[in-house]
Parts: sequence; C-alpha cells; structure tokens
Amino acid sequence: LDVRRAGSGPPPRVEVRVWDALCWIAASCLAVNVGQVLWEGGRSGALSRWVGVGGPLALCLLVGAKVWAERRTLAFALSDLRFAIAILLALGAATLAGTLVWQTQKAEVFFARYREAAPALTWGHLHALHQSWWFGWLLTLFAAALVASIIRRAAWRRRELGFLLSHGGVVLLLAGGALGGALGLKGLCYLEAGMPSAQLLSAKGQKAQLPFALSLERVEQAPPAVVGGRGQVASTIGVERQGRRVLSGVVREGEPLGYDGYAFYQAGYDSKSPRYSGILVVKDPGLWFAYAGLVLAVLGVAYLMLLRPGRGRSRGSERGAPR
Amino acid sequence: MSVPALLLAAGGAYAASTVALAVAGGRVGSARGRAAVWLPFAVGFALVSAAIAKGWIELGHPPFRSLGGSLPLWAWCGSLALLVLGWRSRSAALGAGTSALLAGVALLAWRRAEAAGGAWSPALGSSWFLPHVLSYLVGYGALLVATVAAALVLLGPRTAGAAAEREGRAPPRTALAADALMERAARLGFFGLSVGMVLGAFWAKQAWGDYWTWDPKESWALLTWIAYALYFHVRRLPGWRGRRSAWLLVAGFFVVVFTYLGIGALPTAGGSVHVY
Repeated sequence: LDVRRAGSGPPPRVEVRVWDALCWIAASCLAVNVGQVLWEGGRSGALSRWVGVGGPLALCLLVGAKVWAERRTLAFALSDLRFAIAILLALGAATLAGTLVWQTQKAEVFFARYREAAPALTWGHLHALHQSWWFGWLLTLFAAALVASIIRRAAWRRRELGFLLSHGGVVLLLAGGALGGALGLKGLCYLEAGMPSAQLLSAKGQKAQLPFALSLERVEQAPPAVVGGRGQVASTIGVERQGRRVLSGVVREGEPLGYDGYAFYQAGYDSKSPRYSGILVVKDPGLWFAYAGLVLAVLGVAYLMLLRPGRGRSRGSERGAPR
Repeated sequence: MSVPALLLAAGGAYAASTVALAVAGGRVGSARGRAAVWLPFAVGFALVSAAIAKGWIELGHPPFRSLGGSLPLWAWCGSLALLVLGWRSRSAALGAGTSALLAGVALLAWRRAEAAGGAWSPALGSSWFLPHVLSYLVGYGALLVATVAAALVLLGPRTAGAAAEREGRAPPRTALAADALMERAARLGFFGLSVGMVLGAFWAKQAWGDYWTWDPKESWALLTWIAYALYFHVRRLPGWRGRRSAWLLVAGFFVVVFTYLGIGALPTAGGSVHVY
C-alpha cells in the first residue's frame, strides 16, 4: 500500500471499470433473484437457487474489488486521526455496554436473568459482547487503523519511535489475542482423586479432549498467610500420556504449572469434599505476541509521555500559570 | 495516633491548605510568606505519609489491599504529583484546588479505614501487587492534578486557549501555562495507567490464567485508558487545545473516580474478581 504518498495529499480518485461491471452483475443477479421468487410465488426453483448463490457471490466480489480498487483511499481514511477517534469512542461505548449487561455465553442463564429484555439484548449479542461478530469487527477495524497509521507515519526516525512502539505494540497485542482466540484452548478439568481425566469443559459448556490425562493426588488448603486472608489452595496433580506419568507437581492459586504449551491453574475447591479439585487448563499460542505487544506498547507510551512531552508543539512556560 | 486519626487530621490539614492558598496564596510575595501558606499542605502530606507507614508497620505488609487501605496512597501520590508537577509554576490556585480534592480523598480514607477488607484472595499476596497498585495510584495522583489544572483552564477567560488559537491570535500566557501544565500532568497520569494496566495483565495471567478477561474492573480500567487516549488524540485536532480538551480531562477524571470507587454499583459487579 502506497499510503505515504496518499497521506501527503488529498485521497486519489480511482477509476474502476471492474467495479462498475461487477456492480451491474450483482444488481442483475439480485433483480433476477427477486423476480424469480415473485414469479414462483415463493417456491425456490433451480434458476433462483443459482442466482441466489450467484448474487451474494457477485456482491462479495463487488465489495472485494471496491476495497482493492480504492485501497489507497481506504488506507488514507483508516489512518485519519478522526477515524482513530471514532474507533476509540466506539470501543469505549462497547466496553461500557459490556459492564452494564451481564456477560454469559450460556443463553439459558441470560434469559433467566433478563426475561422480556433478553431477546432484544441477545439480538445485539450483548449477552456475550466480547465474543460477538461485531465486536470482532470493531477490533479488526481498530487494528487496521493502527496498521494504516503506522504505514503512513513509518519513517524510521527517532522522532517517531514512541508512536511506532506504542501503536505497533497494540497491533501485536491484538494479533496475539486473535491467535490465542483462534488456536487456543481453555477449560476446566474437574478432578477426583484417583480418577484421571482428559476432558475439559469450556465457558460455553462445550466439552473438549486433552491429548493427555490429568490426575489428582491430593488437594489441601494452607492456613491464611495474613489476618483476614484466605488460605492458598494447592493441588498435587500428575500428567499422564499413553499410560505413562510425564509430569508431577503442585498447582497453587497464582502459581500455575506448565506442560507442553499448556498451563494448569488452581481454579476450584470444595472444602467439604477435599477429594475434588477444579483445574483450569489454558493453551494460548498467542501469549508471547501479546506479552511482546504489551512491553512494546508501554515502552512507546513511556517515550511519548515522559521523554518527548509536547516537543515541536506550542508550549507555554508553566511559570505563568494562574496564581 | 491511630491510622484513622492521622487520616482525619490529614483531611483537616488539606482543607486548611485549600483555604490558606485560596485566600492568601496569590498575594504573598516573600519566600517566608509562601512557606507559611504552603505549610498546611506540607502538614497534610506528612500526616498521610505517617498513616501509610503506621498501617504498613501494624499489618506487616503493604496496607493497600482494600479500598480504604489504598485511598491514603492516592492522597500521598496526589500530593507528590502536585509537588513534582506544580513546583515550577508555584501556582496557589493549583495548590488550592488539589488540596481540596486531597482533603476529600483523605476524609474518605478516614471513613473507610475501619471497614473490613473481607476474605482476601491469595492472589493479593503476589509480588505483582505492589508495583501494579503503585503505578495506578501514581497515575491517579497525576490525573487529580491534571483535573485541577483543567479546571483552571475552564475557569480562565473564555477568549483564552483554543478560541484564540482558532481566531489566529496568540493565547494569553496564563492560558498557555495552565494548558501546558494540564497536559504534562495528564502525560504522567496516562503513563501510570498504562504501566499499571500492563503489570495487571501479567499478574492476571499468573493468577487466573488470562491476561485479559473483560472483568468489569478491567473494562473500566480500559475505559479510563481510552478516555485519556482520546484526550491525547483529540488535542492534535485544530482548535481542540485549551478549553475543549480541558473538558475531556474533567470527564476523564469522573471515569477514574468511578473505576476506583464505583465498580461495586455496576449490575455486573457480582462477577468481578476485583471487588473486595
């Protein structure tokens, strides 16, 4: 993307003949589709099925061609400061909504809580807002805006170091989050002493199988370390693979145990039944991307906020502040 | 003196500082006179420091694990931020406004000092705890000062700042100075928020398995960060320095206060691991 040139002047005008042609194809397909449906009285014939597939396909091609043809204009718009502000406002509004509506991926729990309002809230995916398609798109747009602004200002000069580190770090963080969301695994493994288990239960209530089994030897709660505190729960667990024990160790609250890219956390304990323990199993292939992103972002913010405060901008001497 | 008594006395000293600086601060010219009007502030700072030290010694660990325990640290960081950021300007108006807010924080800390912290989670014993809390409260302290500086911008003449910039005139010196001061304080505050959030992410990963879970407190911490990120982005637009961006800082401070004190009032607070 030649965004730097685009950034230096007004967005270029692009003549798109392919786009015009596809526009006509899509419109024709949709018109035929509608005509067929009306002609056949709502029955779906072979032609309408073909057109029904062709229409959306042409529409996808149309949108793709439009995006490609106007890529410079698009990148220009995405890297615009006003767009960044709009995205930040939208992210803020979505984040706020996520704290006002109870979040659960279990529909029955949500309906029991919100009753009449539940259908309207679930229509907007407000019950599992952070897993919704539109929130995913919002984060994608956020990442696109960050990337576009980095490309636009990517002059590898010391002056831009803070900007590049802070914005690049957030992109890396979002990439790490996306990678973890797509390829990661997270769920609770309920263990009973002497009964190995390889089954996980996700937050959605779905079951998943681990490539190994976990077994519980014992679980105990230490006395509180401070007055008014709660004692740390610790489970002694083992990892068994193909009938062979490959790892044995203690998982304490806040002190996870790792094996083969998986991390085990102490997550559940019933003091009345000390034979049971809940172990949270997490696999996150995007973790180190996210960590690197966090470190870079904070370094960039440190540079921007503390080392280059307002350089090159009009600044008043604070000696003249109101007395 | 007990910790609550020290905090009550600190609240009184900050209130006296507000009055002294507001009434006499702008009029005194001599160094001795300035020292006299700033004396109540110094006393308030010393009393808050003593309250934190006494609480730490009594408990045997940092006394910031409950809301009531962390409030004195906010007052302490706010005082320090005023000294660091406002030293050059020696602005009595900034001192009076900050002292008024600090009096409120110290008195709230006094009211909450006796409240039981509940059954503390073992996660609070983590070595991430102190740097995380300290970063946030340094940030909150600087943002408290930034808010007072923003209020000074808003209370200044209307023709100052952005309006003058739009009309192509040079803004008055006092308006430029207050604007620069609020930006400087907001920069330190935003840095504190960023470091606190990143340290919190590392800590959360170790404690609960996720560096981010959209817990209500985390979400509001992000909202605070977004509010100040908006401030820094919006200031780059023409005509948004001065009064307009000052309004954003004032709004941002309400988000800070809600994030710190109001999470328990949210309908989703029951599911938060951050409500102690």
